[in-house]
Amino acid sequence: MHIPENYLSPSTCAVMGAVMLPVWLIAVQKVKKEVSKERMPLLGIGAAFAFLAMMFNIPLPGGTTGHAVGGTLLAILFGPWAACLAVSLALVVQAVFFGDGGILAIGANCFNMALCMPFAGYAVYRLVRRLAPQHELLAAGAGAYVGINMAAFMAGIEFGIQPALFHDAAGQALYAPYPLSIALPAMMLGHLTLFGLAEVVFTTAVYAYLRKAAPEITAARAQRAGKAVYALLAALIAGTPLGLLAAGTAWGEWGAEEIAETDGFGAALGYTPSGMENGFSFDALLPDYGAAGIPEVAGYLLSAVIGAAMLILVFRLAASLKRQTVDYGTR
Amino acid sequence: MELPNWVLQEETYQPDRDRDAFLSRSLLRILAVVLSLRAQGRGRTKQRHAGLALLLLFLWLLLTVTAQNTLVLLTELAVTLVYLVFCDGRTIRRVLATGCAAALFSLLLVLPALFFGSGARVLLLPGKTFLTMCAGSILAERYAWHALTAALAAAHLPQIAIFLLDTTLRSILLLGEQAEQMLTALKLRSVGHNHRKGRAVSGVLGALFLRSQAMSEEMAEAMTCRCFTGTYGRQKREEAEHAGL
Repeated sequence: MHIPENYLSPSTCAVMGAVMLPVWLIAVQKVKKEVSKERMPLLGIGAAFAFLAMMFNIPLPGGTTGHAVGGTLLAILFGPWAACLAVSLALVVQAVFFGDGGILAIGANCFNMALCMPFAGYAVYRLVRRLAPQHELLAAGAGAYVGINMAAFMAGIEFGIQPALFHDAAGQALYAPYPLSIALPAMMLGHLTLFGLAEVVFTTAVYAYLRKAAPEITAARAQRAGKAVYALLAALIAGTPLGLLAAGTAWGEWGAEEIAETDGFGAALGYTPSGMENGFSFDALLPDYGAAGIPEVAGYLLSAVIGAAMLILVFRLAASLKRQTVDYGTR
Repeated sequence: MELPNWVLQEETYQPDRDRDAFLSRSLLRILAVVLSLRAQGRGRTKQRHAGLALLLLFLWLLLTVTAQNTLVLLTELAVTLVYLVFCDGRTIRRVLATGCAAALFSLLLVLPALFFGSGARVLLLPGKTFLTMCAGSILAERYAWHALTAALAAAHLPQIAIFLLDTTLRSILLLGEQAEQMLTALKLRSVGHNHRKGRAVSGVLGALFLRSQAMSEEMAEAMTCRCFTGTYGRQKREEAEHAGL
């Protein structure tokens, strides 16, 4: 679901960035106020979980792939604002260091996966919890399913409005070439079925494990991550090369050189949109979680370790800079 | 009870603007150095395996500098980051600040090469700088300097070099504390406008120099009294056994 560079017009990217800017500011304020200094590193581990979840690609018949995000899980564990910040940082790390998702498209990607997803998922989770208080896992699963589909829906709309708004005199699209009638079903079909299921499985499995192995985390009392959490993190990292088994490219994430021949849910396009051909480009440290001269599996594992460690370090640094506040009960 | 008139009068004393930023600045500098020396290996009672750590650091640096393969460098980056994840926040901050500052500086150095089209390979230099500086400062954070100098002795470095290093570090600490006290005194006594502050600072330096002379004499005497010949570690013990002590 990571929208790559040049799939959205710069103006669309600017609008999405402008939308996200106040959201990020509010999220930072909220997290500063609501997440304690001790719980901050735990949030970093949560962001690392989201990062790893997005590395597990699942193939869908027809040659496309998709992945879970974990935004709803974070919203349930830490609250939607903290989830927004954590997923945003995971997306930024992916875009800047691993070339997954465009640099200019960070605003749009964050809007889909860090704003719509956790908030929609969390709202559904709360609703189901209220209706059936004893079915916590069911609520988490329902929230996860709605959350990821909400994000996919938004991504579909962002792709779909591009050809209508930005095309040249010959009617050829400048950026993402497929209209709403193709983009929306193409995005939703995968996410309503397999990727939605993957998100549900990821969310409920991790939540159930945490509830059993580290109940203090799900009860929002934990101050630091225990062995169980690090063990799960290590297991996820070790499992990331499984994501390589999915051979295809996700819908809407083709490279500029493969888009002309790609059968994007309809006839092959037959041309490369000019905005993509001559657009902004950026060389990441480990493009597509690998580097030249490195075995694919090693590149994937190293990317998983480096990305997860980076996210944890960011939140540990933030926690160490945060002042210790003591509540004297004066307010 | 009625207050006397002079108490009720409002005071209008406004001290002149005085330039004592240089005092505070030098004070802060000195304190930072003293603090960083004191903070080394702080909170760790076990300082074992310092020699092994030094050897590892040497091999690590050698590997980093000779590496042509991104796989090696990325693995090193991953190892460094994972080690840092298990450190406390202050250590993470110090190590990353050191590494990033050095990497930024070397990036500035190679920037012209990048502009003249040498390709992305020149970026290896800042990357390697980051890795080596991080490794060095992790070692400094983990071990106190006395443990490191002791480890150097075990590595058969010339004793005189170790002695000088050890003494220098010790003197920096002691003299730093002296300077801090004198500067604090000067600052406290310079209420209002003090014209002669500049001269007083040179006085501080002079006093510090005299103090260091006295210290070195005292140290020489203490060494004589304790039969210290300027050799450390195993060698010293062997010599002592030789003399039948």
